[in-house]
Amino acid sequence: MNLHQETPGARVLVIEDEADIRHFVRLALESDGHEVTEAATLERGLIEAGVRRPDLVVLDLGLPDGDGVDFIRTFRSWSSSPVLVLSARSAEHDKVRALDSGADDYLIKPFGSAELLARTRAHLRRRHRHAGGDEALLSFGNIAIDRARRRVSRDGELVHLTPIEYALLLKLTSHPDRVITHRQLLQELWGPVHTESVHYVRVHMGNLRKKIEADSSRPRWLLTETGVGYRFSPEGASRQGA
Amino acid sequence: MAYSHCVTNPAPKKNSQSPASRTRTTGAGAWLGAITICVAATLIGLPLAGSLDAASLVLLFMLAVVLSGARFGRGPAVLAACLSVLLFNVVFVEPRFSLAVADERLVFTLGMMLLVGLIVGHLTASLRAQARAASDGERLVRRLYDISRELGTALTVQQVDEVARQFMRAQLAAQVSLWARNPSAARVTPSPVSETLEARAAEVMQQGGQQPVELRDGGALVIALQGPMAIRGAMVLQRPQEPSWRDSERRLIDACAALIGSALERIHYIEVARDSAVEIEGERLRNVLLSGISHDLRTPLASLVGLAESLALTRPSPSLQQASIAQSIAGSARRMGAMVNNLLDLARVESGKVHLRLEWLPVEEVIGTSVAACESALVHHHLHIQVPDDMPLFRFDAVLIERVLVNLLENAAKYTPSGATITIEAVSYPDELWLCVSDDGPGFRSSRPQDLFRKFERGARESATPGAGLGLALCRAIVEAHGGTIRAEAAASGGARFVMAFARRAPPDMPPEDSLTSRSCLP
Repeated sequence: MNLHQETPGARVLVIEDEADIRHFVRLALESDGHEVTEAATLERGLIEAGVRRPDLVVLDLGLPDGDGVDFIRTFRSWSSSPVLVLSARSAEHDKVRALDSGADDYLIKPFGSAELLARTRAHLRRRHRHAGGDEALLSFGNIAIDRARRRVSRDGELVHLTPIEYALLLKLTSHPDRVITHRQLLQELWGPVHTESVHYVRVHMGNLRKKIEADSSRPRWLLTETGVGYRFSPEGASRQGA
Repeated sequence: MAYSHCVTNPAPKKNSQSPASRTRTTGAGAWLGAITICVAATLIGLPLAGSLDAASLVLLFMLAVVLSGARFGRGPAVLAACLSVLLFNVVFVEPRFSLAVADERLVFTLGMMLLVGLIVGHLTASLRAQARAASDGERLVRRLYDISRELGTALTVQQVDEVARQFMRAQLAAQVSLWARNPSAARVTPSPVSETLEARAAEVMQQGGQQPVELRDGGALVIALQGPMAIRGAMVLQRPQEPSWRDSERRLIDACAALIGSALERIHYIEVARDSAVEIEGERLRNVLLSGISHDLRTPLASLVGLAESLALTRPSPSLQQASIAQSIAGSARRMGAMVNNLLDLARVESGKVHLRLEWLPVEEVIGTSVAACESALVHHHLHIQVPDDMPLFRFDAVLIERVLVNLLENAAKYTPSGATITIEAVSYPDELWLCVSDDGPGFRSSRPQDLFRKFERGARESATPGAGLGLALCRAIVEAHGGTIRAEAAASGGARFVMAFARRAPPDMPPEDSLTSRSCLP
């Protein structure tokens, strides 16, 4: 397992009130060689987060003693470690709130250990990649982005992007594996006035995909998180973690 | 009802007519009274005739005229004036006890006396009539005040009916029947009313009209009860004993009708407010229940999926057989999770209160996420996606439409042999946008594929294919919540085809490229 070598022994904090879920999350993470700390309440979670300085936090949004979003806000005041949120389906609003508050990603219950490990590996890898610094050249699949010269090429051929498309691509690719909400994109590209005009983002995203993706209705790199936002997947992995 | 025969009770009748008798009866008693007063004046004057002069005695008779006018009205006053002149002439003017007048100057006095007597009597009587009218008006106002106070405290249509009945019985000796159009029921007060009257009341309630309808036979009045906003009901007044209505009574009835109309309107809004409060409470309860159930069902399912999959991670590694059992458990738990999701979503959407997050979006985006969501179900099928480049934006709730597409795709995968082709297609028409999912499988076994959208309906009965038959019911509920339609039909290839049709709307505005806040960054 060469993935193991990429993410050696990270400290992971699991904040979840259901003992069974905590248990299997621990089992899965420990099988990947991580050191797991458990917390059943928000209060305990904050204490553990302060003491253990985790490299990754797995957080259930529906905790008995408070809103998981409060944890994220507090945690973000001192740490930039990735936060992976566990949430029920059909609670898009909660997910968006968590992501806007600084969470990096979410998993919908029920989820399997494979999905959990794929996500945690991706986020822990990002931690290491950050150490490598920001390079001007970024490439994935057949796409290369030269951020210094503002050039995008596909199979070596220059791709013409509009300013918005380029800005969208840049924003997503500079946060690999992280879910960026519609609101965050709108805020960054159009300013705070247009945060409700989600179709701006969607239309430009559709055009961008037509230029970047081989099949724009089955994207590999620029993935849609329905009702939430978008995610750039540098591995080109499909949702099932193929 | 106990009150329906109140008209036969003599007590309220007498009571109601006593004010009228005081104002209008000028019976023999009044005339006699006037005569008595004049005679009394004469008798008082007789012993004084020696010591007083004629002018003073005339004043005594004037007093008699004033008293008659004040006490008995205009007619007796005129009588008193004439009688006074006659008695004064006969008794006090020389030659006494004869109509002859000795002194010619006294003829002028007598003439003046008659004229002044008539005028004074008339004025006094007018004053008296005005005073009567004022006190009658005051009484009317007090009655209206009483009824408005009673109506003001009424909280139900029945109470209004009760107040109206008592009032009309006491004041007009009339029998009331009330119809209300309130939401608590178009409640008809049970009372003996002919069918004609009932029909007229219904008519009046429908059409309104300022003037009360007066029915000639039986003299019943049919009145619309007009509230400030709308007609709130109708009222029928009947008085068999005295079928005609005086103007003052009509004014009273009109005023009462307006008051009753306002009271009914107030009660109408009380009921509306109460009903919506009940509805809100019911909705809140349903949401609490649904979210409670979702949490309680999903949490153990999530544990089941996770724990079953973690079995493979235990040390020492499980045998191949154990691993496959664990995998089956996880798979079943996932399927059950999907069913629970369908069930809860259906309950949510069917309650009609689901809040759609309608957004404009390119349909490819939803197709992409739906396909990605059922990737594993589609591994043995060919997928073909057809979206024209100039496809207009759809306006729908992406999360819900994704549910529809996922259900349709999973159905297609479930009911077609592996290797079959599934096609997702978007088509634009001038008024409609279509989203279709079709396959080249065996097609529908049922001759009526529309029945598939009913709850717990499945294409093949007792088949081994899993699924509770909720998926398509959910699809229909979601599409219909969007104002669209969904239908099942045979595809050209002979397979099944599901067509969702949405109304095509004017597309939203798109800002020009240069509206970007970030600096232009052309590659």
